[in-house]
Amino acid sequence: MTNLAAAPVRRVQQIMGLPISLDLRDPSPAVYQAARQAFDWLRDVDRRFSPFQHGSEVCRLDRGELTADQASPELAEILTLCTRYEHDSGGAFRAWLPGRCFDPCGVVKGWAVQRAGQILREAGAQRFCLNAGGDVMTAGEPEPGRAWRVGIRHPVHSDQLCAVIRMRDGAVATSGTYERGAHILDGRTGQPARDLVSLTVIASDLTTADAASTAAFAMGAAGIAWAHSQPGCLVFAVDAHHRVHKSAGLDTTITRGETTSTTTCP
Amino acid sequence: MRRACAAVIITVAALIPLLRYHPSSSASTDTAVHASPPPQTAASAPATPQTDIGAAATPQTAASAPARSPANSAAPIPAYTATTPLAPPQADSNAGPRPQPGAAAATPSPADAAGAASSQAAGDVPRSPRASTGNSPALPLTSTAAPPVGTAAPAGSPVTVPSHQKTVTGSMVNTPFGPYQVQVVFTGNAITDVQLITEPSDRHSQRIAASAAPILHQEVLQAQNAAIDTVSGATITSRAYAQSLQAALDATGH
Repeated sequence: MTNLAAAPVRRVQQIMGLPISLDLRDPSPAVYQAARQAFDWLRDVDRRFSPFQHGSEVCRLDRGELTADQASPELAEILTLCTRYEHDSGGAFRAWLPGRCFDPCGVVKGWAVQRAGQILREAGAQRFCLNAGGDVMTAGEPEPGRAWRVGIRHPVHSDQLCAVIRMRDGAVATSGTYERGAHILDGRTGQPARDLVSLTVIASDLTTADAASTAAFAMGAAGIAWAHSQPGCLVFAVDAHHRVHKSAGLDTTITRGETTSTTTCP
Repeated sequence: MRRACAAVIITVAALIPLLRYHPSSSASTDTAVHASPPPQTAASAPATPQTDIGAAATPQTAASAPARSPANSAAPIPAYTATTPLAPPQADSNAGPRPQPGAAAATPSPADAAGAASSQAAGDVPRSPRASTGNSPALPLTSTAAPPVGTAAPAGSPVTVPSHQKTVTGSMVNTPFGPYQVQVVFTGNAITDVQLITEPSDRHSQRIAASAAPILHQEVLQAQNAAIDTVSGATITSRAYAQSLQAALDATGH
Protein backbone atom coordinates (compact mmCIF):
# COMPACT_ATOMS: atom_id res chain seq x y z
CA MET A 1 0.00 0.00 0.00
CA THR A 2 2.94 2.29 -0.61
CA ASN A 3 1.56 3.77 -3.79
CA LEU A 4 -1.74 5.14 -2.65
CA ALA A 5 -0.89 8.50 -4.15
CA ALA A 6 -0.11 7.08 -7.60
CA ALA A 7 -2.70 7.95 -10.21
CA PRO A 8 -4.74 4.96 -11.35
CA VAL A 9 -4.04 3.65 -14.82
CA ARG A 10 -6.27 1.84 -17.29
CA ARG A 11 -5.08 -0.25 -20.19
CA VAL A 12 -7.17 -2.00 -22.83
CA GLN A 13 -5.71 -4.45 -25.31
CA GLN A 14 -7.37 -6.71 -27.84
CA ILE A 15 -6.02 -10.22 -27.39
CA MET A 16 -7.62 -13.56 -28.26
CA GLY A 17 -10.30 -11.57 -30.05
CA LEU A 18 -11.31 -10.11 -26.69
CA PRO A 19 -11.03 -6.70 -25.15
CA ILE A 20 -8.84 -7.06 -22.07
CA SER A 21 -9.12 -4.17 -19.65
CA LEU A 22 -6.66 -3.64 -16.83
CA ASP A 23 -7.46 -1.13 -14.11
CA LEU A 24 -4.38 -0.53 -11.96
CA ARG A 25 -4.86 1.47 -8.79
CA ASP A 26 -1.33 1.23 -7.42
CA PRO A 27 0.91 1.49 -10.45
CA SER A 28 4.67 1.64 -10.17
CA PRO A 29 7.48 1.02 -12.64
CA ALA A 30 7.63 -2.61 -11.54
CA VAL A 31 3.90 -2.98 -11.97
CA TYR A 32 3.98 -1.38 -15.42
CA GLN A 33 6.62 -3.89 -16.41
CA ALA A 34 4.47 -6.69 -15.01
CA ALA A 35 1.47 -5.39 -16.93
CA ARG A 36 3.42 -5.69 -20.16
CA GLN A 37 4.43 -9.22 -19.17
CA ALA A 38 0.83 -10.07 -18.34
CA PHE A 39 -0.42 -8.91 -21.74
CA ASP A 40 2.50 -10.74 -23.40
CA TRP A 41 1.50 -13.88 -21.52
CA LEU A 42 -2.05 -13.61 -22.81
CA ARG A 43 -0.76 -13.24 -26.37
CA ASP A 44 1.37 -16.35 -25.77
CA VAL A 45 -1.71 -18.20 -24.58
CA ASP A 46 -3.53 -17.28 -27.76
CA ARG A 47 -0.68 -18.54 -29.89
CA ARG A 48 -0.12 -21.73 -27.91
CA PHE A 49 -3.56 -22.84 -26.81
CA SER A 50 -6.07 -21.53 -29.31
CA PRO A 51 -7.91 -24.19 -31.29
CA PHE A 52 -8.15 -21.63 -34.07
CA GLN A 53 -4.38 -21.25 -34.55
CA HIS A 54 -3.09 -24.02 -36.77
CA GLY A 55 0.33 -24.22 -35.11
CA SER A 56 -0.89 -24.08 -31.51
CA GLU A 57 -0.07 -26.82 -29.05
CA VAL A 58 -3.79 -27.52 -28.82
CA CYS A 59 -4.07 -28.13 -32.57
CA ARG A 60 -0.91 -30.19 -32.62
CA LEU A 61 -2.26 -32.34 -29.83
CA ASP A 62 -5.52 -32.69 -31.70
CA ARG A 63 -3.70 -33.83 -34.84
CA GLY A 64 -1.62 -36.31 -32.88
CA GLU A 65 1.62 -34.43 -33.44
CA LEU A 66 1.91 -34.12 -29.67
CA THR A 67 1.02 -36.76 -27.14
CA ALA A 68 -0.27 -35.93 -23.69
CA ASP A 69 3.09 -37.04 -22.33
CA GLN A 70 4.87 -34.51 -24.49
CA ALA A 71 2.60 -31.68 -23.49
CA SER A 72 4.15 -28.59 -21.93
CA PRO A 73 3.41 -28.07 -18.22
CA GLU A 74 0.87 -25.42 -19.17
CA LEU A 75 -0.94 -27.66 -21.66
CA ALA A 76 -0.91 -30.43 -19.08
CA GLU A 77 -2.64 -28.07 -16.64
CA ILE A 78 -5.28 -27.28 -19.25
CA LEU A 79 -5.86 -30.96 -19.97
CA THR A 80 -6.23 -31.66 -16.27
CA LEU A 81 -8.80 -28.88 -15.94
CA CYS A 82 -10.77 -30.15 -18.93
CA THR A 83 -10.82 -33.69 -17.61
CA ARG A 84 -11.83 -32.58 -14.15
CA TYR A 85 -14.74 -30.41 -15.25
CA GLU A 86 -15.93 -32.98 -17.75
CA HIS A 87 -16.08 -35.49 -14.92
CA ASP A 88 -17.60 -33.13 -12.38
CA SER A 89 -20.32 -31.93 -14.76
CA GLY A 90 -21.35 -35.47 -15.67
CA GLY A 91 -20.18 -34.98 -19.23
CA ALA A 92 -22.12 -31.78 -19.92
CA PHE A 93 -18.87 -29.91 -20.31
CA ARG A 94 -16.70 -31.57 -22.93
CA ALA A 95 -13.54 -30.24 -24.53
CA TRP A 96 -13.49 -33.39 -26.66
CA LEU A 97 -16.73 -33.65 -28.63
CA PRO A 98 -17.26 -36.31 -31.28
CA GLY A 99 -16.56 -34.98 -34.73
CA ARG A 100 -15.08 -31.76 -33.44
CA CYS A 101 -11.60 -30.52 -32.71
CA PHE A 102 -10.31 -30.50 -29.16
CA ASP A 103 -11.56 -27.19 -27.81
CA PRO A 104 -10.44 -26.16 -24.32
CA CYS A 105 -11.74 -22.60 -24.68
CA GLY A 106 -14.17 -23.15 -21.82
CA VAL A 107 -11.34 -23.26 -19.33
CA VAL A 108 -8.37 -21.56 -20.98
CA LYS A 109 -9.44 -17.96 -20.69
CA GLY A 110 -10.08 -17.93 -16.95
CA TRP A 111 -6.95 -19.92 -16.30
CA ALA A 112 -4.84 -17.59 -18.44
CA VAL A 113 -6.24 -14.40 -16.93
CA GLN A 114 -5.80 -15.74 -13.41
CA ARG A 115 -2.15 -16.33 -14.21
CA ALA A 116 -1.84 -12.85 -15.70
CA GLY A 117 -3.17 -11.51 -12.42
CA GLN A 118 -0.57 -13.49 -10.54
CA ILE A 119 2.16 -11.89 -12.64
CA LEU A 120 0.87 -8.53 -11.46
CA ARG A 121 0.66 -9.61 -7.83
CA GLU A 122 4.19 -10.95 -7.87
CA ALA A 123 5.40 -7.57 -9.08
CA GLY A 124 3.77 -5.93 -6.10
CA ALA A 125 0.40 -4.89 -7.52
CA GLN A 126 -2.16 -5.13 -4.74
CA ARG A 127 -5.09 -3.18 -6.10
CA PHE A 128 -6.21 -3.95 -9.61
CA CYS A 129 -9.04 -5.30 -11.71
CA LEU A 130 -8.53 -7.36 -14.84
CA ASN A 131 -11.49 -7.90 -17.15
CA ALA A 132 -11.10 -10.23 -20.12
CA GLY A 133 -14.19 -9.89 -22.27
CA GLY A 134 -16.49 -10.15 -19.29
CA ASP A 135 -14.50 -12.45 -17.02
CA VAL A 136 -13.24 -10.45 -14.07
CA MET A 137 -10.48 -10.85 -11.52
CA THR A 138 -10.06 -8.32 -8.73
CA ALA A 139 -7.37 -7.66 -6.14
CA GLY A 140 -7.47 -5.45 -3.08
CA GLU A 141 -9.61 -2.34 -3.13
CA PRO A 142 -10.08 0.31 -5.80
CA GLU A 143 -10.09 2.93 -3.05
CA PRO A 144 -9.21 2.48 0.61
CA GLY A 145 -12.16 1.01 2.45
CA ARG A 146 -14.22 0.17 -0.60
CA ALA A 147 -14.69 -3.15 -2.39
CA TRP A 148 -14.65 -3.51 -6.18
CA ARG A 149 -18.14 -3.30 -7.62
CA VAL A 150 -18.61 -5.76 -10.44
CA GLY A 151 -21.82 -5.32 -12.39
CA ILE A 152 -23.40 -8.36 -14.00
CA ARG A 153 -24.66 -7.44 -17.41
CA HIS A 154 -28.36 -7.67 -18.13
CA PRO A 155 -28.82 -10.62 -20.51
CA VAL A 156 -30.85 -8.55 -22.95
CA HIS A 157 -29.70 -4.97 -22.62
CA SER A 158 -26.00 -4.36 -22.90
CA ASP A 159 -26.18 -1.07 -21.03
CA GLN A 160 -28.04 -2.41 -18.02
CA LEU A 161 -27.10 -4.52 -15.04
CA CYS A 162 -29.05 -7.16 -13.21
CA ALA A 163 -26.79 -7.40 -10.19
CA VAL A 164 -23.72 -5.91 -8.62
CA ILE A 165 -21.19 -8.01 -6.77
CA ARG A 166 -18.88 -6.36 -4.28
CA MET A 167 -15.61 -8.04 -3.60
CA ARG A 168 -11.97 -7.52 -2.85
CA ASP A 169 -9.82 -10.48 -3.87
CA GLY A 170 -12.00 -12.62 -6.07
CA ALA A 171 -13.26 -13.51 -9.50
CA VAL A 172 -16.49 -13.35 -11.47
CA ALA A 173 -17.15 -15.22 -14.70
CA THR A 174 -20.34 -15.23 -16.73
CA SER A 175 -21.49 -17.58 -19.46
CA GLY A 176 -24.39 -16.67 -21.66
CA THR A 177 -25.96 -16.89 -25.06
CA TYR A 178 -26.56 -13.20 -25.64
CA GLU A 179 -23.19 -12.26 -27.13
CA ARG A 180 -22.32 -15.24 -29.29
CA GLY A 181 -25.57 -17.14 -29.56
CA ALA A 182 -26.17 -20.64 -28.26
CA HIS A 183 -22.53 -21.63 -28.64
CA ILE A 184 -22.10 -23.72 -25.51
CA LEU A 185 -22.91 -27.34 -26.24
CA ASP A 186 -24.24 -29.85 -23.76
CA GLY A 187 -21.71 -32.63 -24.13
CA ARG A 188 -24.31 -35.22 -23.17
CA THR A 189 -26.52 -34.42 -26.15
CA GLY A 190 -24.27 -32.49 -28.51
CA GLN A 191 -27.00 -29.86 -28.67
CA PRO A 192 -26.70 -26.21 -27.62
CA ALA A 193 -27.53 -25.56 -23.99
CA ARG A 194 -30.67 -23.42 -23.93
CA ASP A 195 -32.13 -23.62 -20.42
CA LEU A 196 -30.30 -20.52 -19.26
CA VAL A 197 -29.53 -17.15 -20.77
CA SER A 198 -26.89 -16.13 -18.27
CA LEU A 199 -25.01 -17.85 -15.46
CA THR A 200 -22.41 -16.15 -13.30
CA VAL A 201 -20.05 -17.85 -10.87
CA ILE A 202 -18.28 -15.91 -8.14
CA ALA A 203 -15.21 -17.66 -6.75
CA SER A 204 -11.86 -16.88 -5.20
CA ASP A 205 -10.01 -17.42 -8.48
CA LEU A 206 -10.91 -16.98 -12.11
CA THR A 207 -9.75 -20.43 -13.15
CA THR A 208 -12.51 -21.90 -11.02
CA ALA A 209 -15.11 -19.24 -11.83
CA ASP A 210 -14.69 -19.53 -15.60
CA ALA A 211 -14.58 -23.31 -15.77
CA ALA A 212 -17.49 -23.69 -13.36
CA SER A 213 -19.66 -21.14 -15.16
CA THR A 214 -19.04 -22.77 -18.52
CA ALA A 215 -19.68 -26.27 -17.20
CA ALA A 216 -22.79 -25.17 -15.29
CA PHE A 217 -24.18 -23.41 -18.32
CA ALA A 218 -23.72 -26.56 -20.39
CA MET A 219 -25.62 -28.52 -17.74
CA GLY A 220 -28.68 -26.33 -18.16
CA ALA A 221 -31.12 -25.71 -15.33
CA ALA A 222 -29.41 -28.33 -13.17
CA GLY A 223 -26.19 -26.39 -13.53
CA ILE A 224 -27.43 -23.69 -11.17
CA ALA A 225 -27.53 -26.01 -8.18
CA TRP A 226 -24.35 -27.69 -9.36
CA ALA A 227 -22.43 -24.41 -9.48
CA HIS A 228 -23.84 -23.49 -6.09
CA SER A 229 -22.50 -26.76 -4.70
CA GLN A 230 -18.97 -26.24 -6.00
CA PRO A 231 -16.54 -25.45 -3.16
CA GLY A 232 -16.13 -21.74 -2.66
CA CYS A 233 -18.55 -20.84 -5.44
CA LEU A 234 -21.62 -18.63 -5.49
CA VAL A 235 -23.97 -18.47 -8.43
CA PHE A 236 -26.27 -15.91 -10.03
CA ALA A 237 -28.29 -17.16 -13.00
CA VAL A 238 -31.08 -15.98 -15.27
CA ASP A 239 -33.03 -18.78 -16.93
CA ALA A 240 -34.74 -18.77 -20.32
CA HIS A 241 -37.91 -17.51 -18.66
CA HIS A 242 -35.95 -14.67 -17.12
CA ARG A 243 -36.27 -15.97 -13.62
CA VAL A 244 -33.33 -15.16 -11.41
CA HIS A 245 -31.64 -17.81 -9.28
CA LYS A 246 -28.88 -17.07 -6.83
CA SER A 247 -26.91 -18.50 -3.96
CA ALA A 248 -28.16 -17.72 -0.49
CA GLY A 249 -24.75 -16.43 0.46
CA LEU A 250 -24.66 -13.89 -2.31
CA ASP A 251 -26.47 -11.10 -0.51
CA THR A 252 -24.24 -11.53 2.50
CA THR A 253 -21.23 -11.29 0.32
CA ILE A 254 -22.51 -8.13 -1.19
CA THR A 255 -23.63 -6.24 1.85
CA ARG A 256 -20.49 -7.02 3.74
CA GLY A 257 -18.30 -6.27 0.78
CA GLU A 258 -16.19 -9.22 1.77
CA THR A 259 -14.00 -11.26 -0.45
CA THR A 260 -15.61 -14.44 -1.60
CA SER A 261 -12.43 -16.37 -1.02
CA THR A 262 -13.47 -17.38 2.46
CA THR A 263 -17.11 -17.97 1.65
CA THR A 264 -18.31 -21.51 1.44
CA CYS A 265 -21.71 -22.33 0.07
CA PRO A 266 -24.13 -23.47 2.76
CA MET B 1 -2.41 2.36 -25.66
CA ARG B 2 -3.46 5.89 -24.78
CA ARG B 3 -4.31 6.31 -28.43
CA ALA B 4 -6.44 3.22 -28.26
CA CYS B 5 -8.25 4.63 -25.27
CA ALA B 6 -8.80 7.88 -27.12
CA ALA B 7 -10.30 5.99 -30.01
CA VAL B 8 -12.63 4.21 -27.66
CA ILE B 9 -13.63 7.48 -26.08
CA ILE B 10 -14.60 8.85 -29.45
CA THR B 11 -16.44 5.69 -30.39
CA VAL B 12 -18.31 5.67 -27.15
CA ALA B 13 -19.06 9.35 -27.07
CA ALA B 14 -22.24 8.94 -29.03
CA LEU B 15 -23.38 6.25 -26.63
CA ILE B 16 -22.66 8.10 -23.44
CA PRO B 17 -25.84 10.14 -23.30
CA LEU B 18 -27.84 6.95 -23.31
CA LEU B 19 -26.15 5.45 -20.31
CA ARG B 20 -27.99 6.09 -17.12
CA TYR B 21 -24.77 6.16 -15.23
CA HIS B 22 -23.78 9.50 -16.60
CA PRO B 23 -26.61 11.86 -15.99
CA SER B 24 -24.31 14.86 -16.03
CA SER B 25 -22.27 14.09 -19.11
CA SER B 26 -22.38 16.50 -21.96
CA ALA B 27 -22.85 15.26 -25.47
CA SER B 28 -20.59 17.97 -26.78
CA THR B 29 -17.39 16.84 -25.10
CA ASP B 30 -15.59 13.56 -24.97
CA THR B 31 -14.26 14.00 -21.51
CA ALA B 32 -17.43 14.65 -19.59
CA VAL B 33 -17.82 11.02 -18.68
CA HIS B 34 -18.16 9.92 -15.11
CA ALA B 35 -18.59 6.45 -13.79
CA SER B 36 -19.78 7.68 -10.46
CA PRO B 37 -23.48 7.92 -9.69
CA PRO B 38 -25.33 11.14 -9.30
CA PRO B 39 -25.20 12.57 -5.81
CA GLN B 40 -28.86 11.86 -5.35
CA THR B 41 -28.21 8.16 -5.28
CA ALA B 42 -27.30 8.30 -1.65
CA ALA B 43 -30.70 9.72 -0.89
CA SER B 44 -32.61 7.37 -3.11
CA ALA B 45 -36.09 6.22 -2.35
CA PRO B 46 -36.94 3.20 -0.22
CA ALA B 47 -37.22 1.04 -3.32
CA THR B 48 -33.51 1.34 -3.93
CA PRO B 49 -31.76 0.12 -0.81
CA GLN B 50 -28.03 -0.13 -0.43
CA THR B 51 -27.95 -3.80 -1.16
CA ASP B 52 -27.18 -4.32 -4.79
CA ILE B 53 -29.16 -7.43 -5.45
CA GLY B 54 -32.86 -7.43 -4.90
CA ALA B 55 -33.96 -8.99 -1.70
CA ALA B 56 -37.25 -10.16 -3.18
CA ALA B 57 -35.92 -13.18 -5.01
CA THR B 58 -35.74 -16.22 -2.83
CA PRO B 59 -32.47 -18.01 -3.40
CA GLN B 60 -32.80 -21.11 -5.50
CA THR B 61 -36.58 -20.86 -5.42
CA ALA B 62 -37.29 -18.17 -7.90
CA ALA B 63 -40.48 -19.79 -9.08
CA SER B 64 -42.03 -19.33 -5.69
CA ALA B 65 -41.51 -15.58 -5.62
CA PRO B 66 -44.66 -13.65 -4.83
CA ALA B 67 -46.71 -12.59 -7.79
CA ARG B 68 -46.89 -8.93 -8.49
CA SER B 69 -49.79 -6.90 -9.71
CA PRO B 70 -50.66 -7.33 -13.38
CA ALA B 71 -49.48 -3.84 -14.16
CA ASN B 72 -46.01 -4.73 -13.04
CA SER B 73 -45.82 -8.39 -13.71
CA ALA B 74 -45.20 -8.27 -17.42
CA ALA B 75 -42.10 -6.15 -17.43
CA PRO B 76 -39.14 -8.46 -17.49
CA ILE B 77 -36.98 -6.02 -19.30
CA PRO B 78 -37.28 -2.43 -18.23
CA ALA B 79 -36.39 -0.75 -21.45
CA TYR B 80 -36.13 2.82 -20.39
CA THR B 81 -32.64 3.02 -21.74
CA ALA B 82 -31.46 1.79 -25.07
CA THR B 83 -28.16 1.43 -26.80
CA THR B 84 -29.42 2.87 -30.02
CA PRO B 85 -31.93 5.55 -30.78
CA LEU B 86 -35.30 4.00 -31.35
CA ALA B 87 -38.33 4.94 -33.32
CA PRO B 88 -40.88 6.97 -31.41
CA PRO B 89 -43.87 4.98 -30.17
CA GLN B 90 -46.32 6.25 -32.74
CA ALA B 91 -44.08 5.05 -35.56
CA ASP B 92 -44.30 1.46 -34.43
CA SER B 93 -46.72 -0.72 -36.30
CA ASN B 94 -47.75 -2.50 -33.15
CA ALA B 95 -50.39 -1.35 -30.78
CA GLY B 96 -49.66 2.07 -29.43
CA PRO B 97 -48.92 2.76 -25.83
CA ARG B 98 -51.65 1.93 -23.39
CA PRO B 99 -51.50 4.52 -20.70
CA GLN B 100 -51.70 3.21 -17.21
CA PRO B 101 -54.54 4.47 -15.08
CA GLY B 102 -52.15 5.40 -12.38
CA ALA B 103 -49.70 7.18 -14.59
CA ALA B 104 -50.00 10.85 -13.95
CA ALA B 105 -48.64 13.43 -16.32
CA ALA B 106 -45.17 14.37 -15.42
CA THR B 107 -41.95 16.05 -16.16
CA PRO B 108 -39.08 14.54 -18.07
CA SER B 109 -36.31 12.35 -16.85
CA PRO B 110 -32.92 13.48 -15.72
CA ALA B 111 -31.66 11.24 -18.47
CA ASP B 112 -33.02 13.72 -20.94
CA ALA B 113 -30.79 16.33 -19.51
CA ALA B 114 -27.90 13.93 -19.84
CA GLY B 115 -28.35 13.64 -23.55
CA ALA B 116 -28.99 17.26 -24.28
CA ALA B 117 -26.02 19.44 -25.00
CA SER B 118 -26.03 20.77 -21.51
CA SER B 119 -23.41 21.42 -18.93
CA GLN B 120 -25.70 20.98 -15.99
CA ALA B 121 -24.07 19.47 -12.99
CA ALA B 122 -25.27 16.07 -11.90
CA GLY B 123 -28.26 16.48 -9.71
CA ASP B 124 -29.58 19.64 -11.23
CA VAL B 125 -33.30 19.88 -11.46
CA PRO B 126 -34.53 18.20 -14.65
CA ARG B 127 -35.10 20.48 -17.56
CA SER B 128 -38.52 21.62 -18.56
CA PRO B 129 -40.67 19.24 -20.63
CA ARG B 130 -40.65 21.47 -23.65
CA ALA B 131 -36.91 21.88 -23.71
CA SER B 132 -36.14 18.21 -23.40
CA THR B 133 -38.74 16.66 -25.62
CA GLY B 134 -38.48 19.28 -28.28
CA ASN B 135 -34.75 19.27 -28.68
CA SER B 136 -33.80 15.66 -28.15
CA PRO B 137 -35.62 13.54 -30.70
CA ALA B 138 -33.13 10.69 -30.54
CA LEU B 139 -33.32 10.23 -26.82
CA PRO B 140 -34.99 7.11 -25.54
CA LEU B 141 -37.12 8.88 -23.02
CA THR B 142 -39.94 11.27 -23.69
CA SER B 143 -42.17 13.01 -21.27
CA THR B 144 -45.75 11.98 -20.82
CA ALA B 145 -46.61 15.59 -20.22
CA ALA B 146 -47.02 15.93 -23.97
CA PRO B 147 -48.49 12.65 -25.25
CA PRO B 148 -47.42 11.64 -28.76
CA VAL B 149 -49.87 12.31 -31.54
CA GLY B 150 -52.39 9.53 -31.80
CA THR B 151 -52.02 8.40 -28.25
CA ALA B 152 -55.16 8.15 -26.21
CA ALA B 153 -55.38 10.20 -23.09
CA PRO B 154 -54.94 8.35 -19.82
CA ALA B 155 -58.11 6.45 -19.04
CA GLY B 156 -58.01 6.75 -15.31
CA SER B 157 -58.63 9.79 -13.22
CA PRO B 158 -55.54 11.75 -12.32
CA VAL B 159 -53.74 10.44 -9.31
CA THR B 160 -52.04 12.73 -6.89
CA VAL B 161 -48.36 11.96 -6.65
CA PRO B 162 -45.69 13.60 -4.58
CA SER B 163 -44.32 16.58 -6.41
CA HIS B 164 -40.81 15.13 -6.55
CA GLN B 165 -42.02 12.09 -8.48
CA LYS B 166 -41.84 12.08 -12.25
CA THR B 167 -43.19 9.59 -14.74
CA VAL B 168 -41.40 9.17 -18.00
CA THR B 169 -42.36 7.07 -20.99
CA GLY B 170 -39.67 5.15 -22.81
CA SER B 171 -39.46 4.49 -26.52
CA MET B 172 -40.56 1.20 -28.01
CA VAL B 173 -37.79 -1.34 -27.68
CA ASN B 174 -37.67 -4.56 -29.63
CA THR B 175 -36.50 -7.58 -27.69
CA PRO B 176 -36.32 -11.29 -28.44
CA PHE B 177 -39.72 -11.50 -26.75
CA GLY B 178 -41.31 -8.74 -28.79
CA PRO B 179 -41.72 -5.00 -28.49
CA TYR B 180 -41.84 -3.38 -25.12
CA GLN B 181 -42.49 0.08 -23.93
CA VAL B 182 -42.20 1.11 -20.34
CA GLN B 183 -43.03 3.92 -18.06
CA VAL B 184 -40.46 4.84 -15.45
CA VAL B 185 -41.19 6.62 -12.21
CA PHE B 186 -38.41 8.76 -10.83
CA THR B 187 -38.26 10.02 -7.29
CA GLY B 188 -35.65 12.67 -7.53
CA ASN B 189 -33.11 11.08 -9.82
CA ALA B 190 -33.68 7.56 -8.51
CA ILE B 191 -35.79 5.07 -10.42
CA THR B 192 -38.51 3.87 -8.09
CA ASP B 193 -40.81 1.98 -10.42
CA VAL B 194 -41.04 0.64 -13.91
CA GLN B 195 -44.32 -0.28 -15.54
CA LEU B 196 -45.01 -1.92 -18.83
CA ILE B 197 -47.33 -0.04 -21.13
CA THR B 198 -46.83 -2.01 -24.32
CA GLU B 199 -46.22 -5.71 -24.44
CA PRO B 200 -45.71 -8.27 -27.15
CA SER B 201 -48.86 -9.30 -28.95
CA ASP B 202 -47.66 -12.86 -29.30
CA ARG B 203 -49.31 -14.97 -26.63
CA HIS B 204 -46.26 -17.13 -26.04
CA SER B 205 -44.14 -14.10 -25.46
CA GLN B 206 -46.72 -12.73 -23.09
CA ARG B 207 -46.63 -15.90 -21.10
CA ILE B 208 -42.87 -15.78 -20.90
CA ALA B 209 -42.99 -12.16 -19.91
CA ALA B 210 -45.56 -12.79 -17.22
CA SER B 211 -43.62 -15.62 -15.69
CA ALA B 212 -40.36 -13.79 -15.92
CA ALA B 213 -41.19 -10.35 -14.80
CA PRO B 214 -41.41 -10.18 -11.07
CA ILE B 215 -37.86 -11.00 -10.36
CA LEU B 216 -35.67 -9.63 -13.09
CA HIS B 217 -37.75 -6.48 -12.89
CA GLN B 218 -36.68 -5.95 -9.31
CA GLU B 219 -33.10 -6.88 -9.87
CA VAL B 220 -32.72 -4.30 -12.55
CA LEU B 221 -34.39 -1.59 -10.54
CA GLN B 222 -31.94 -1.99 -7.74
CA ALA B 223 -28.86 -2.45 -9.86
CA GLN B 224 -29.58 0.67 -11.85
CA ASN B 225 -28.48 2.95 -9.09
CA ALA B 226 -25.19 1.29 -8.44
CA ALA B 227 -21.88 2.78 -9.38
CA ILE B 228 -19.69 0.05 -10.77
CA ASP B 229 -16.03 -0.46 -11.52
CA THR B 230 -16.35 -3.17 -14.16
CA VAL B 231 -18.86 -5.44 -15.89
CA SER B 232 -19.03 -9.21 -16.03
CA GLY B 233 -20.95 -10.76 -18.89
CA ALA B 234 -20.91 -13.46 -21.50
CA THR B 235 -17.70 -13.33 -23.49
CA ILE B 236 -17.87 -10.19 -25.51
CA THR B 237 -16.24 -9.82 -28.89
CA SER B 238 -13.89 -7.00 -29.69
CA ARG B 239 -16.50 -5.65 -32.07
CA ALA B 240 -19.31 -5.64 -29.53
CA TYR B 241 -16.99 -4.10 -26.96
CA ALA B 242 -17.14 -0.72 -28.66
CA GLN B 243 -20.77 -0.38 -27.63
CA SER B 244 -20.49 -1.97 -24.22
CA LEU B 245 -20.80 -0.52 -20.79
CA GLN B 246 -17.31 -1.77 -20.03
CA ALA B 247 -15.97 0.34 -22.89
CA ALA B 248 -17.66 3.35 -21.39
CA LEU B 249 -16.05 2.59 -18.04
CA ASP B 250 -12.66 2.15 -19.66
CA ALA B 251 -13.14 5.39 -21.54
CA THR B 252 -13.40 7.31 -18.31
CA GLY B 253 -9.67 6.66 -18.11
CA HIS B 254 -7.44 7.88 -15.37
